[in-house]
Amino acid sequence: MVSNRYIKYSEYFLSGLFPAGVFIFYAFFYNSHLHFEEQFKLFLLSGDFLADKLKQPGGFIGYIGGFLTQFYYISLAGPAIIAIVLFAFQQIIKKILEICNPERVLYPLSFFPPFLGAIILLDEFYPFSAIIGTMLAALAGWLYVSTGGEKMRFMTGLILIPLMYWLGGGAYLCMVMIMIVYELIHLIRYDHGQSGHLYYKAGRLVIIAALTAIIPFISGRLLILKPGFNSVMGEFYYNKLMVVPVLILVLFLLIPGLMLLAFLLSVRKERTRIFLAAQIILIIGFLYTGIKIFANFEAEEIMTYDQLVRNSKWPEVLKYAERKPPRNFLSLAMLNLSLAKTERMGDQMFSYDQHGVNGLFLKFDKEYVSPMLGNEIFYQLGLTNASQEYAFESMETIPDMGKSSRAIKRLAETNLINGQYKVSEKYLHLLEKTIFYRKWAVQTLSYLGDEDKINGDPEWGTRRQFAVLGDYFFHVENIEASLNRMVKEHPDNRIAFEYLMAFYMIRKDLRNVANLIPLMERYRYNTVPVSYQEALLYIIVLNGGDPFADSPAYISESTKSRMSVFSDIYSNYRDADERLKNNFGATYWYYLLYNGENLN
Amino acid sequence: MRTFVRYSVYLILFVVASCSKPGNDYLTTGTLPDIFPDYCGVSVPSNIAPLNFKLLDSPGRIYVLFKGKNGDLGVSGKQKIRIPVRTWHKFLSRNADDTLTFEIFTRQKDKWKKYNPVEIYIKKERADPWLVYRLIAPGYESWSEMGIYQREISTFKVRNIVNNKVLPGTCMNCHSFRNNSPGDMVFHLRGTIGATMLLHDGEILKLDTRTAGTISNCIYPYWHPSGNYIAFSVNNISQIFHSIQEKRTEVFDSKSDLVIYDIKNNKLITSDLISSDQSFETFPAFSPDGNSLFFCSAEQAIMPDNYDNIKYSLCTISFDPVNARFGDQVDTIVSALTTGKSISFPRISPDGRYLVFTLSDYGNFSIWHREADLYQLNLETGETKPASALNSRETESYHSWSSNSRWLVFSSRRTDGLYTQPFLAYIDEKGNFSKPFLLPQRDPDLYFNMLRSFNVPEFITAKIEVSRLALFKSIGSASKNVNFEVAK
Repeated sequence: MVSNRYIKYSEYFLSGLFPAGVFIFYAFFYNSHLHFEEQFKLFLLSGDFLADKLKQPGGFIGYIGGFLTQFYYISLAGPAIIAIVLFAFQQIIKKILEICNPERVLYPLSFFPPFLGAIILLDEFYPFSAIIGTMLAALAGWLYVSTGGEKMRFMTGLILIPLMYWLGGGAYLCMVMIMIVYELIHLIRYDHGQSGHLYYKAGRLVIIAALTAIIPFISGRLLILKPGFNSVMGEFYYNKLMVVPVLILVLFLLIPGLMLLAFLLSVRKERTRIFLAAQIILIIGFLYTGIKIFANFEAEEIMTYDQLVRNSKWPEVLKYAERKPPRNFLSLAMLNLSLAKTERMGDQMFSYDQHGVNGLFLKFDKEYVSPMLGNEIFYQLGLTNASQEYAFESMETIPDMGKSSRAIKRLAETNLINGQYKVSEKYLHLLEKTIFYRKWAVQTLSYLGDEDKINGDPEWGTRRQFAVLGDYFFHVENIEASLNRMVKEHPDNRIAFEYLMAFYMIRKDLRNVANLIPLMERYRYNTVPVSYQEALLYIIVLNGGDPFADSPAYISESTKSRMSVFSDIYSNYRDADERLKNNFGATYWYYLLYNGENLN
Repeated sequence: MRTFVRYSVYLILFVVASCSKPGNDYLTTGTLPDIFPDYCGVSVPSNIAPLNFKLLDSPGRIYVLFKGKNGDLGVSGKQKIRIPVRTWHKFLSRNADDTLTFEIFTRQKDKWKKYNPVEIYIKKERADPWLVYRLIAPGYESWSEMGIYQREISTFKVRNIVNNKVLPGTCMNCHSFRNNSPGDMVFHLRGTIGATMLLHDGEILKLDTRTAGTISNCIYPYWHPSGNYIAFSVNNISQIFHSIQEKRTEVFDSKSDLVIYDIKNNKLITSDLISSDQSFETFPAFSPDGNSLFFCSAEQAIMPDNYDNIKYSLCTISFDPVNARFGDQVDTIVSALTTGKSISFPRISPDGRYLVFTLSDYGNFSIWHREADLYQLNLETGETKPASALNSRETESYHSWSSNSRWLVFSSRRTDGLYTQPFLAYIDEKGNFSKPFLLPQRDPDLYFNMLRSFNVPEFITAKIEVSRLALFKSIGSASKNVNFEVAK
């Protein structure tokens, strides 16, 4: 009696804790992953979009997965949806396992598949449709095992296999395995090996197996015209086409595996508590190992930087950088952009670990992440065509060959800025068919062709104001020339000037830094950025001048006195590097003298 | 009770019918309807698919009455008209070689309005029944899903010939047919499994056309009418990207020559006259009798420094198909010195009367040139004139003829300035083009929603029946190397 109550309460606790834990994890520790996934999965509320999905195996779950993924746009909606779906998945598994073994103490087993589902979703290449598909297969499996009467069950199976294949793609294999395992259990439990019945059942299983094998074959040859494994799984289990989604196959096997395990296990009453505790410990271990192996928190940091930049939350980027300093070029480039947008680039750039110009501009290397992030930099600088090129390249390199709502939005903007209204309109009409970009698209449509309205817009008008005047061929490798042209064409483009300064300072190209110093006057800085002051003092010293006597008036006394201290330590201590790191690590002098890393 | 149900049904039908069809009580707008695609005054072949369209200036219900000499056809819809394929073809068969008028009514605020009637000319000369094109995003260096597809023009059936979803990272391009025949096809695959795929005499061959003697693997193809040869250009192609708003991409050759692939002997042959170091030669096209090879040629220049100075002329050289030998001189048919512009894609009508080419300000990759237009050369009189009926303010570029020389399909960016779409145009006995029309789609919104361009549209006389399994096997097999020689 005590055990039963113990089981009951623990089940209530675990059933509540599980979705809450999933929600908290995805809402507060892995939320940027969801935003990242959403932007690369364009979902249109249109009949064509649905029809296009439904004409291929697995298209239904692809559609449902895509529909739900679009809600990742709202920070807390995504985690809530994942938690609800995984909770429903657990409940279905529980029902199936109860049929295999009604002992309540085994209920924790039902948490393994949804936990694996939660782990699978840590990898951004597994789309949500993969979980929806497996859940649908489990649901179909439950329907099958709940169907009474052998003949009726057999008929149900014959209908479910092709139906599940078309709706859910590869997950039909999971359903078939559930069916086969259940028939084995049924055979052992009720038929006691009666030979007549055995042959009968074996015959049915052979038909089921044959149908399972033949359906993708027919589909692959006649309907979808795809070879081998691709026609079995469909396109909705892994974003990299033609790659075998191993974890999903493990999930497919896990469910029938648990059914067999549940059937074989028999727990004596006195061991109930131990058994229960063992299962829960196993789950915790399983979860811990899964997160340890599959969670990518470095990627989460990059995605957070990106998410903040995408939404122009520049000060938040700086705050985030205090907690999580950039660990790679992608994050560093986003931080540098935010410094420029908040007019702190010249003051604070060297407070962070700079690693060459790749931390200013991102190269496109035939993948979709760096061009998407990189396009933001060009867009903010006023290099509209380059931004357009990067956004387009990003969309064309999305692994599942889908489209990106964020890229389409950017393309609508770049074409609007460039006066290509018809193309912009095309993109805006597409976004009109989405839930979360519709409002923006409708508003933007009102700008098309209205030159005054566009020119007066603080964002698009500024891009037009700083538009490239003289044509040249752009390549990120030649960014120095592009920046020089921009500064020449639009002396008031402060962000372009600061990027050019940053480019030369990071490259330790003091000759060009010195050449640019006179241009600073155009920007009427209240206080000239500290790193520029530091650079200038250093140049004066290099040229044999006296930093105190020969420096211009805008060099502050504080900078001068700091230089004095810096040069004292630098000249008098062998371990100057270590001594200077704490107090002068954020100076340009320290960067110049001690950062010898790859600067190109 | 039964009577009540019956009369209720009658009432509902009456209400539905009266809502979807105007009576005699309507206003007239006095204007032509703003429809997409624009079918006003176009000539269409009698085997064209239903001319489904969208009324752009009215979101409400519409009713269209197609009127022919031998009967009418009424169709209703909400903003869009979708005509059932069978009904349409029955109607067309009764009214072939006739002028159809269609009257469009639109219902707004419980009032029907009628636009001025639109005329469509149904031509009894049919266009070739299938159209082959590549779908690809008009992008930069990368591509997502792309494929070569065939579309039956009398219906909306589209069949995939080859697609990169199962060949990740692969690009496929430059499909070409002998005399519009589906049995003789060539196309290239680019990427790790790159090769030239040749479908000929019921066989599929995978060729490696790179040789020590040529600049590159084979690029732009054109079949000899005998089926024994394919002319190719070999090019060093690069692309660069503009910074100013009006321009996007520039594609240029830094070297190019012509070669002829002798299919039977598996060798590439060329001549110094078409592989000169002093000039760029590209876009070959055989004359329908197979005795001449037309091509575009420009004086060699350092690229990309001179990218906007390079201008191609239309040239020809005689070709002896029996001995696979070239003539000993190149004739310039239309000189860049005369036009001040640059020619690309010469395509001769199968009856040998007309040559249509693309003319742009410079270079040869005209799809990225907004000023690119189609021009028509009368090969009997030598007269060259713009094919004005076909041109727009946006790009017109690739084009090909139907086997009966009565229809031209060409790619144009006139709809939005970026996404290329296939337009069909009729040409009469006297060489006059009619107003072109956009290839009809089941859903006229397809062109608005699609994020890919229709690239290299080619007519073919029947469906390509190649087994996809055989094609895949061949793609996966080892390539056959071709030999190279310079003809004396």
